[in-house]
Amino acid sequence: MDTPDPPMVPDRLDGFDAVVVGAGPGGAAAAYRLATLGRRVLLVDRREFPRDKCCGDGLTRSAVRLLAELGVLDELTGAQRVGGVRIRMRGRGGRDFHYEDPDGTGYGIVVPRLELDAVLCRRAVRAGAVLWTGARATGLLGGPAGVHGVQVEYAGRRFSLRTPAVVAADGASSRLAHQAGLRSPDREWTGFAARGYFTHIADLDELLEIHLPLADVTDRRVLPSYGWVFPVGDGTANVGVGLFDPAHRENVRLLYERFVTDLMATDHRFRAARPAGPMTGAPLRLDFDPSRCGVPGLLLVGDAAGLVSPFTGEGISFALESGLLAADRIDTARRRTETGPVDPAPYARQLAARQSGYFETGRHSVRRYLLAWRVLDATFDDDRPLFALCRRLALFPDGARAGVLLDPLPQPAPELARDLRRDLMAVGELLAGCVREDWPMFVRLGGVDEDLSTLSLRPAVLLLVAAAVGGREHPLRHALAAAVDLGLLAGLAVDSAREEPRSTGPRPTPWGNRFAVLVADFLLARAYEFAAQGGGPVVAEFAEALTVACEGRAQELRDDPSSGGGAGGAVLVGRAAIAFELPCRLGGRLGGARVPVVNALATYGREVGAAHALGEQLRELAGASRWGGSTQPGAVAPDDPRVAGLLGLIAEHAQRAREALRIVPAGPARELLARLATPGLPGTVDPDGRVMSVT
Amino acid sequence: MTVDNAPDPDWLASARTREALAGLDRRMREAVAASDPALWAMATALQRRGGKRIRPALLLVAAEFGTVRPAHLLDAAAALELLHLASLYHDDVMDRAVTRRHGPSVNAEWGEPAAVVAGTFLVARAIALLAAFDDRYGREAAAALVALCTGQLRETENAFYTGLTEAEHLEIIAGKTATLFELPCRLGALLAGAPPATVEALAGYGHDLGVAFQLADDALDVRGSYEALGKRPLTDVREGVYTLSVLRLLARDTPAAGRLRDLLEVREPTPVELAEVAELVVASGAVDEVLAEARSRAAQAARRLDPLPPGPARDSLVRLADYAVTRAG
Repeated sequence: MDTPDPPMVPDRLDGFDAVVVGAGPGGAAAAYRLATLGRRVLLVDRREFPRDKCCGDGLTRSAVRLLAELGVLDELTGAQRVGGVRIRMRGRGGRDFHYEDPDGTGYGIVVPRLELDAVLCRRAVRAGAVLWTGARATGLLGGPAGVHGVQVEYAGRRFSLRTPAVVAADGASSRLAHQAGLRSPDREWTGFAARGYFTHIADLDELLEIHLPLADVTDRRVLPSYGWVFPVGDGTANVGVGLFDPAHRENVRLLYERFVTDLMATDHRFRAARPAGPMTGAPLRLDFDPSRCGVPGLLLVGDAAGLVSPFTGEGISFALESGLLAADRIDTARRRTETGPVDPAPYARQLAARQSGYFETGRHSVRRYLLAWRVLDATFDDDRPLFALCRRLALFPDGARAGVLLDPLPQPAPELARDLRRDLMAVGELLAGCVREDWPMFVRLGGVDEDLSTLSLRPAVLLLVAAAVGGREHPLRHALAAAVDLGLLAGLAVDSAREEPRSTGPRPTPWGNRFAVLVADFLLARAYEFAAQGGGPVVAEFAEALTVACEGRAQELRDDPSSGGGAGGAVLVGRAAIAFELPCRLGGRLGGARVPVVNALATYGREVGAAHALGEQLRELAGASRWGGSTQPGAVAPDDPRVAGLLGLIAEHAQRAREALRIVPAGPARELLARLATPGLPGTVDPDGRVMSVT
Repeated sequence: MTVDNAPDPDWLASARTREALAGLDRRMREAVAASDPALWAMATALQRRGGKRIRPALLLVAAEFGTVRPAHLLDAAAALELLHLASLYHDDVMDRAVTRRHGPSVNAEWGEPAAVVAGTFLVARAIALLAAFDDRYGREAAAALVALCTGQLRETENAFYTGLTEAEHLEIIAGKTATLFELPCRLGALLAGAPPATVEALAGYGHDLGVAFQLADDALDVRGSYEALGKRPLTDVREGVYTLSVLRLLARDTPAAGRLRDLLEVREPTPVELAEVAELVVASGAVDEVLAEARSRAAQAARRLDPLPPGPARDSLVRLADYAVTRAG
């Protein structure tokens, strides 16, 4: 370890661009980035490294990507790779979610904090950061109105370090945040975690295993809690629990002991397991609030900012990301030679935009999460779209992309691609704005895929591409694109209602249906709001599409769902109405296309929608539903006559869709639409767009 | 639980609105005409069983305070009743209710998924009706729907939560119930070109009226009987929706409050336990307090109408406010 010895005190103590307090992942990432940007940065921590820290040690794919960006991935020699997440639901067995791995970066790791933090710290020092360990930050200079530096005790001396930016990376019980008046007044937001290491465990799979939810000792109350078993390698696991119930925080130790006892008693893998070292505990904070992640001169990162997933307790990826963002903000301020304390507002906005998919904005209570837990619990075996989607968004967020909704989009011509990205960013903002407060989970769905490199086929995309046919950039296109995207999601929610058992005895609360109805109505109301911006005629078309969708769905519910022989006309038209036909029609008109062209685009939308609906049926038949877990039973043989029947129908509708495009003026938009005519299928497609086989 | 009780049209003193309302059911049936006969049957199921038609009546009465009588006013009235019906369909799915208006609920008869679709279909038809009016009304209606849904979300997330404060509870009621009383008053007045002060007075009336209705209903849920409600008593409590009288008792530091808390923690309470819940809450005086609160809200609603010109329209609204609470005793 490169801890300077003897303690090095630089000549100039007032020349730091930033002082970072806390050398965990968030602080080290901030210090590293600042140093690589050429900034003078001091990193202080009260401990000596390497040091242990209570944590699950599980790093998601997002965290691994950030570690690669920091250049430390190869140094983590003790890291155990994991290919995804296994969720074990109380009394229901488990489900595995694997990272997609098209480019070899689809994995997470488990690495003890003892190693991770030391490596990150060393990285920051190598990049040029000055590190003081065994140094205590005793207080801020200044206060909530403006922070001018920080007082640090180091090597028996007391330093008043003046600096334009203090980064508080001092953990869940951040003293600096407290001193700056940034702590949430609501104690409800605190959770607790406890963990220990166990050796001699057999058959550990390379997955982050999460157990949901745990019950209290009386077994009567299900607690907002989870347990985990993360493989560290060599039959060793990090085993722990997290509890987000303020009324029961003293019970975290009991909960941990019970979890471990249960594993030992019922889990064959733990038959010979032995504890290695003591249990340790730590608070968790999930009160991230953009208005409370800094004051002038002070930026909170990681746990200090309350950045912990309320569902899985994961916090390292958020710590790394917030550390990098904070560093970038400080660098920008210094480059612009802004004087005085660094303004955290742009940093706060960036965090809000990126993180609100996971976190509440502080206005609502932890009770929102209780609802989510109840729904997750009640619908764990249910692969209807809404539940599958929410399960992924809540439990496996970095594996869930908007792309899960529909197919990836083939690469459009460069100019069209550029416009689409720009427009989709604007649509994403609108969507995020209307769900952020009440359904933050859905924020990510509206966004462009994380790195902007891939686009998915969504109703909004169809509308924008159809608008590009006419070429006019209508100011309403973003609002209406948001309306059709919300319409699709609302439709998924409507489709997700299920029959309840008709027993005469006690019936459990129908959390799944409650959730489906709440989401459907809410998203529909929001869609209506956006459509209403377009005025009466647009609303009328929106209402008509919704009507047709309901008519189709009503018929679908009466048809035998297991026939698999392809649905009738009304059903297909209904399936296409909101997600395909409406966006094509509205887009065509907004773009200023001639009436016959608008009609042709609508026909195209109807046919493509039918082809896609049949494609979904085929996926289900082939056991490759978009919504299922990684293993789906009941796949039929490729030579099943129903497969051939569906393939034929899909080709027919796709052909009609392409024909409809004939009178649409040629150009990149038409070319992209033509390529979208055939749905992506779990198999191979010949050059003419005919589906050859299904795997 | 959304307010929806047996008909009592005596409050409607306005002959003009009474006449107009006679055409409402036909208009509603036309509006939900579906290509699919089964969907049509589902979509008209509750409508055929009557109902008070309070929201359409409110819209028509509010329109009497304006200067113009726009064509198709009945379409707007029909749209609001359809939105109300849609909320009943969806409520019954969320509460797995088996009866509604003295018959089987739509979900009990056709299944949960079909009832969700039928409710959404009613929303679609209501939106279609409103699309014919000036753009502004669509925006008003959309905003009201968002408020309604947000109120329901808050109610659901607080289910089985015994620490809900009174203020939070009233906020929930404002969203999920008062919204659909306020909207018809506002829309009716706006469509008829009433002056802004009149629009606001009527909208305020509608809001208070909705709260009064809900509070009275909540008290009835504790005290009422199957005959009076058309549903089993304590439905709300069983579904974990703690109404104001329950919350009031819970907030006290008394043995009765402790006992109530214990009873509510039981996962599937027996009829005997539910009866004890009702007994505790009634005996505590909380039900009477809530009824008093409802009466005061109703009186406040009526007072908002003071500046409006007297006549059968205003009389009707004053009587409705009175009716909202007298039916609860």
